[in-house]
Amino acid sequence: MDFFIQILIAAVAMGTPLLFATLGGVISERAGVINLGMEGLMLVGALVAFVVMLNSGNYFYAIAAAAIASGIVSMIHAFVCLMLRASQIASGLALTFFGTGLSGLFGDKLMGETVEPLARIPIPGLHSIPILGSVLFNQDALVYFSYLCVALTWWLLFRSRLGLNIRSVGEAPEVCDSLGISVLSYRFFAVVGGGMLIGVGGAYFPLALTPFWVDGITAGRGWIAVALVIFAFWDPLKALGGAYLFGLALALELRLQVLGIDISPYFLKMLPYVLTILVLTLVTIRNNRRGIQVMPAALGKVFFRGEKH
Amino acid sequence: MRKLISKLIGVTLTLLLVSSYAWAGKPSVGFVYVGPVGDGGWTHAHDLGRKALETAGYETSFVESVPEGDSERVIRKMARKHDIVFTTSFGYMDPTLKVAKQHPDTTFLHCSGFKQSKNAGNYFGRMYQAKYLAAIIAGGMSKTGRIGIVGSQPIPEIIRHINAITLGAQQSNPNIEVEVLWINSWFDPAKESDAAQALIDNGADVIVTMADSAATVQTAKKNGVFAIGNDTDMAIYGKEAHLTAAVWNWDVYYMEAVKAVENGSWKPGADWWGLDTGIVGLTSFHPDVPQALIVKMNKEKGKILSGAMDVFDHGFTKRDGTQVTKALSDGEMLGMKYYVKGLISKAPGS
Amino acid sequence: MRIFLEKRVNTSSWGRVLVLGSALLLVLIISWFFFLVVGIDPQSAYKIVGEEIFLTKYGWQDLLVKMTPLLFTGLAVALAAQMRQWNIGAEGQFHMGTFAMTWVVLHFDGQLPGGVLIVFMIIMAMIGGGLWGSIPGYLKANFGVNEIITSLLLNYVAAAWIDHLLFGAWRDPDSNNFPITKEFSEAAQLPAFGNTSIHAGLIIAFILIAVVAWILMKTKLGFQIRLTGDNPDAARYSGVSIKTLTILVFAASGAIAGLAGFSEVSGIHYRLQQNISIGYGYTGIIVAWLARNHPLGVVLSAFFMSIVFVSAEVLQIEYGLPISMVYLYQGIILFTVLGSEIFTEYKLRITRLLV
Repeated sequence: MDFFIQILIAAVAMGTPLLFATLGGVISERAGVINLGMEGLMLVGALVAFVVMLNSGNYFYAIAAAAIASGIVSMIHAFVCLMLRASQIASGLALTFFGTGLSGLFGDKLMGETVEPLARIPIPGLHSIPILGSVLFNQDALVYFSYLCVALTWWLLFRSRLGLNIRSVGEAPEVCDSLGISVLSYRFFAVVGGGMLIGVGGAYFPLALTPFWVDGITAGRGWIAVALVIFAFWDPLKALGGAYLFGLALALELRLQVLGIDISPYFLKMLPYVLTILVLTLVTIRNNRRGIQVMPAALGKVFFRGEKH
Repeated sequence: MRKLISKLIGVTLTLLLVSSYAWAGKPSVGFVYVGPVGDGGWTHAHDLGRKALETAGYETSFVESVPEGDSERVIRKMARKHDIVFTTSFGYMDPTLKVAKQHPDTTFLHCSGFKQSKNAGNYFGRMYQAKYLAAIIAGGMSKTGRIGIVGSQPIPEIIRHINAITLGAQQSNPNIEVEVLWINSWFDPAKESDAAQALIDNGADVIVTMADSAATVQTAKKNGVFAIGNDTDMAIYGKEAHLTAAVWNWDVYYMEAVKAVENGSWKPGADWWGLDTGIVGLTSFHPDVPQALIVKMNKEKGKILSGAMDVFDHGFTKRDGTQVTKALSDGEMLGMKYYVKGLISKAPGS
Repeated sequence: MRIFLEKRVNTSSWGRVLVLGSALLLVLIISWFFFLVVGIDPQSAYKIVGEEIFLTKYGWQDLLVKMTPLLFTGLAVALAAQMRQWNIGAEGQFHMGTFAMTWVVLHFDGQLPGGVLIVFMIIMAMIGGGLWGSIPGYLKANFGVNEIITSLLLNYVAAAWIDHLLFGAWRDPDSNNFPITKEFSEAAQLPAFGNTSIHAGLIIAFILIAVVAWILMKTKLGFQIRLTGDNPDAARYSGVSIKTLTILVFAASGAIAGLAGFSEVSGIHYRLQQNISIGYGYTGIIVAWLARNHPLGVVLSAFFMSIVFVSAEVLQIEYGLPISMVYLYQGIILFTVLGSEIFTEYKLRITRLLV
């Protein structure tokens, strides 16, 4: 039983940075802008969080600074894709270079420095629920903050006027434009807001998982998050499940070895991606029958205002 | 216009000639690294060796994070600029040999491979000896009788180290159990940390890592257990947990090799230097390590230093029960893919 | 007064060249500031980088070697993009190409005469990459599953598959059990030019580019592809089977990316090992985009990207610039070039009227 709970605790820990990043990606893609630069943004968030933590000793400042820094860097992506109308995919790749370089450059002098990782705070009452309590309610503050972000993102996208507009510019920008909704402003907001959350995902590494700095600390999690946004069908609630499922896959790869179960680790690595493709295909088929769109219709497409065919 | 171009080319050639002439005194040395110098492990250790050369007055330069798939061009560039080129990842082996053929006047040294040519040799250190000694401390410090190892990718070098650790720990505690969890990646701090946690959850109270980052040391510290550092001294990341580290001192080798090239005595060969040269060693011990254990470790160390004994030269039992009675050759050690007795799970792919 | 962008009705080739020229100038200006900030004398940096790359035969060799895989992957992405399909799976198709051709070598090396063996390897690399590429094509054509997503996800699967083989069945016991296959015999190696590393893959790439350009511009099939890209409805009315065409184009795109893998393994490495592709598939996206998906433009943009990469190495070696600074520099350059592309499609207009 303990073993089982430990796996789940590890799944949540490994899933939390993915969750933040996925939520960020969901907001951005809902508005119609793909962000392949998540790895770069997470690294920027991680670096800034670590530096601020090291100098201020204040978790709140560290997280806020990470969000702001990644927000600023994602403005470049927003500017290049939205104002200059470049390819979102190419710009995202440039962002990966940029963020990786930026974090490596300023992380140069940080070798050997450490910070105190976030402590676990059991939530009174809730943490004594069997299994779930110790998995979900005996975690650190950032994990709790991620629950809040899931709820907030969901509320933002599906219950607020702002979210409706964000989704609309991702579905039918031309219609929005004719209704006087500024497509570019909403997209800009979504890319930068999403970028901030992605940065917080990066911050989880030095603040909780691995409380020191090393080049490339996120080790490709940003690319997993790119896939997760899709796996979650651009839905914050599904992002929660998806992030923990991917976290579980990471945790299982190690725990299956503990159990002596002999499965090729490389097949385990493929599994989440194959599953994502399968599920995406099945859901698309089902929704085709019902005539529902799964994906934001204008995703990845350049919007140009004022062009009349 | 044509005149201008030919003039330009002339100037360039002169510049190239002049600059190559300037190196004639002391050989200049180039390094090709697989990771960033800030990795705090493998590449960082090599770079400390490079810095020692700089201090000794040699001109050096390096290129970091060179992917194996792209290494040939970088090695060629280094070959043109330098008299000696060190390439420090197994995957650089073929490209190094290929470029060596194109640049017969440059000396190439490739780390951890097995191919040589007229102007290319390889070098490595018997890190397994240092791991063995560190494991004597680890085995003696474990109260639960269980050591956990975080494995990176299952290549023979890492498996050799795992076996050396197991044999070393058995010197202190014949019944010690050793558990390995493979992260199947060269670098993934979060996963290294999680692997250490899983090992600790499963009863290990000394964690040895084969991966580069200090994640395991930190996880050990958080859980109040011990850890052994890999490649470089990791005590700064958690001295409460850090028993010792088995480290590379590449400067020893680099100074020697560069001097040999400088005075013309260098010959291509496979240098596999041992503990006696100082290329590998242990860092200072945790204050809690009892003197008796250090004495015990030093006794084994003395035997290795004097050449009376090596880790795999006096017989051992494989995990499947077969006995190995004769000493392993270097070739057998370099291709090791089985586990010795004492390891809990099976070796990958066996 | 109001400034706004107006879409150009048709971009003249001269206009394009002018814009590209200004983009390059902008790159040089931004690099100038970058060098100043990191403490390098820009003038000497330009001189040294320029000399290293353009005035030495090694520089040219490096450029051409680096360019070869990018020609393939750029072309692969560009071909699909002609139909407005985004193949960001060239990386995985590259890997599956290396897988299929290595399978041939491991089973038939020494049994087939050299020429036959190479042709067999080429065919299998195309099949390997092509089948892998046709998966997103099939899912898109039949079910409308977004191809950006499926092709991207398949990259991770392909990479894991290669690792599975290298750490398992294909590991060479004679190489100390390292995760590399045995070395190919000379019969399975592409010939190189003289004592350089430029290999026949470059020629294959150029031939392929010519063929693809010819198909796209001169044949009915090419017309259908372009028509479907511009106006799917019109294409459908004129009797194009968009389904078949989508799968076909994706398979062809994958086959070309698979050839990139063949060219790298058989032309450079002579064995399969880890990290053979260093994001060539992804860089191919940038190459194709800069070429505006024109096959002939791919040559120029692949050349440009090679300069970006090779000059970064020169900066590292000559000035000891850390890799992080190189990444940062490359990011800035890419943003600059991507951003300035806007002026090929749009022009600035300044009016005094309130619109």
